[in-house]
Amino acid sequence: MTVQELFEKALHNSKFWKELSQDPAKALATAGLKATPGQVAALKQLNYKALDEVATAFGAHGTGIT
Amino acid sequence: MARHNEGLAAQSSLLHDDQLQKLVGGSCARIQTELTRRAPFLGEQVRGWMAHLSPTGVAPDYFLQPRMFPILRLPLWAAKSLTAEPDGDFLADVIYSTVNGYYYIRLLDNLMDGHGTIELKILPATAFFHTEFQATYQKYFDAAHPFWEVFRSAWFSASDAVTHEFNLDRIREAEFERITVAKLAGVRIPLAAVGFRYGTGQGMQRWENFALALARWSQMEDDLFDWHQDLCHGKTSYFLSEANRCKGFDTVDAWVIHEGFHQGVETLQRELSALRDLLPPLHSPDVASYLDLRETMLEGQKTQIGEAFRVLETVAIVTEAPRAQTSD
Repeated sequence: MTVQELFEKALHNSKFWKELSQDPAKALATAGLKATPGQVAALKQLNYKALDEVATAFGAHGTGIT
Repeated sequence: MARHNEGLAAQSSLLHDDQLQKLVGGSCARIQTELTRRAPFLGEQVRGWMAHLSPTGVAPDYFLQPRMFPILRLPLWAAKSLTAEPDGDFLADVIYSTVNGYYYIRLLDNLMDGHGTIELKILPATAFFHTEFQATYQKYFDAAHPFWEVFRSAWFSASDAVTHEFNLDRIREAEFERITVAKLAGVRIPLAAVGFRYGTGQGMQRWENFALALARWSQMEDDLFDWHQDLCHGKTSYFLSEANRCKGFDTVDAWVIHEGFHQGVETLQRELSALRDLLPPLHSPDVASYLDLRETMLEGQKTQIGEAFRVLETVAIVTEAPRAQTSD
């Protein structure tokens, strides 16, 4: 997956991130991918909670003056 | 992080002051009462639209969001710095006028930007919003009063700039400074009303200078945080024009995630420091607190979104790596 596709998932697909954070190997398998044990371990270390701010900051509600 | 959040919560109380909440709530209720009395069918549609704009579904909350350009706060801060006893009815009218002016711009702007939902169906509401925006000042300033020259100058130049920007394919620095920032000239109107009401000359010029500099900063912030929506709707902005110029073989999304967002926040932080140079002649602790809050918010977003982007980059590396093969 490209970083662009993952950004879209950060905005619109919280289920993907929930599954990835809980069981990376299973989530990747669901997406048709398989990862090495080292990669799975790396994915377990990530702070997925930080992604909430992406949806808040770049989501649908603009607040500008114009 | 906990200390950061506590500090943010404490400073956010500044943005939820009782006076503003009361005035904004009163203005939204007044709009709905007037529309129900004079144009009930339209009024019902507009009521839904006003609620829809707000992230909470409660119309006044739209104007109380921390990231909102403080077009309603600036005249209140200015009045507080210029007089010990501001006239409550006058300030209520200034806020009512400005809320109407804002809805007028929002309605047209959503249509022009392609963000519209029901805007086309309620387009005749612009007659109400514009009349209330302008007519509210008629009881304070007669037809020959110099206030109306400021009104015409600010309102027409803002309209000219909105139209000009809409016709641009890309926005470089020169266009941003000359056109995009000029879209925000309407902020001079409520400030001029306060200035003329309290008889200040040079004092008001300082407030206008600050308001326009803050409007410029807010537009840069909007460009940065609205980049994805702008991209989706095919709207150009200075930030997106820079993204297209700098991205090389990357997509805009990838450039923003890899470096553009970080650069944009650092620019905002530098420009926010420069805004502080305009503070001393305003004699307004409220404005100083506001800038402190925005600085704290920006630092928090830089940290959190930076961390989120690192998550995206790491997952992208794993899912794009040769060993992350497609399973059979």
